[in-house]
Amino acid sequence: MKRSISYSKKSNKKSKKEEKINPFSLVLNYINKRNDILNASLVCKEWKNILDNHKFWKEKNEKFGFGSPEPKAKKYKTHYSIFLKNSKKLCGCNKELLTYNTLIRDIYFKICILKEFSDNREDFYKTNPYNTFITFVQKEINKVIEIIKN
Amino acid sequence: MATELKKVKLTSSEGTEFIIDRKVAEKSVLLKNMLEDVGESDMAIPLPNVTGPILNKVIDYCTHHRDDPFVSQEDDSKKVSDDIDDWDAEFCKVDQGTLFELILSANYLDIKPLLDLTCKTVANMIKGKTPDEIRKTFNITNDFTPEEEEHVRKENEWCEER
Repeated sequence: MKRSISYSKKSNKKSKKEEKINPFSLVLNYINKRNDILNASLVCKEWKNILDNHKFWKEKNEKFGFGSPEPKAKKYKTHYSIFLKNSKKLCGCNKELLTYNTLIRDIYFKICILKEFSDNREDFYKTNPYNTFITFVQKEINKVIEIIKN
Repeated sequence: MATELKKVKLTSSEGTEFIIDRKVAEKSVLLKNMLEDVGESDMAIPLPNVTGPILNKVIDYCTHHRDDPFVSQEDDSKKVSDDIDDWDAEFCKVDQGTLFELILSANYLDIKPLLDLTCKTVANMIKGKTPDEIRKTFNITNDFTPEEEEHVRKENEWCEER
């Protein structure tokens, strides 16, 4: 009661919620594999909210220089949404493509490119960045072409 | 030597009194700071957020691990291993309700190794399971509408590891 006086209407609601800590908000910090995080985010809305700001996505964003949600935008943007948006951008895949394109395989290979790009990003700047990436993309594209041919 | 013999009095939410060694109490960062601030005192420390049976478990844990070295916050990112030793595994063989209360108490009392242990135990119940299996394990209702669920699933598809 004492606390609520100093809070505005909006944060009043929030502070009440925070008093009751959901044990899962603590537990979910301890899952650290991508697919476990994704699966758990489908359990219920509360879990999704917790997991969208999981440090896994935060670290990914930091690693790739994607940035983090501005304090003001926290309601709409999460570490996960920023990762999603930027990784799609990096692969040149827009929302429409994701929604309408049925070629999952196509998307899958783009993910492979992104993944490798991300993994090698540090070396990538040390050596000749442009060439390394281009050769890699070419290799991946050849793979895709081969699969489509078959 | 002298600090080891000192006792600390704690009262649980129902008012049950526990008398423990100061060294055991200092496993809790909250109590450690409190004791440092207060100094010498015979007053019992009230813990309104912790029930007697849970406090009992927490004390068991702290007593068993009283001589463990203090683990700093930074080390934990490196040590995300899932190995739990036998005593700890046995300690965690309790019902889910108790386990969750232990998590909250460990968080409140700021006992990092106990928080790690209990959270890891629950996290292990989540790992490798489908959303449906997880819901069943913890008796959680799915409050997504089918459209919302589909949307999340689609989004996730982008990030999945195959």
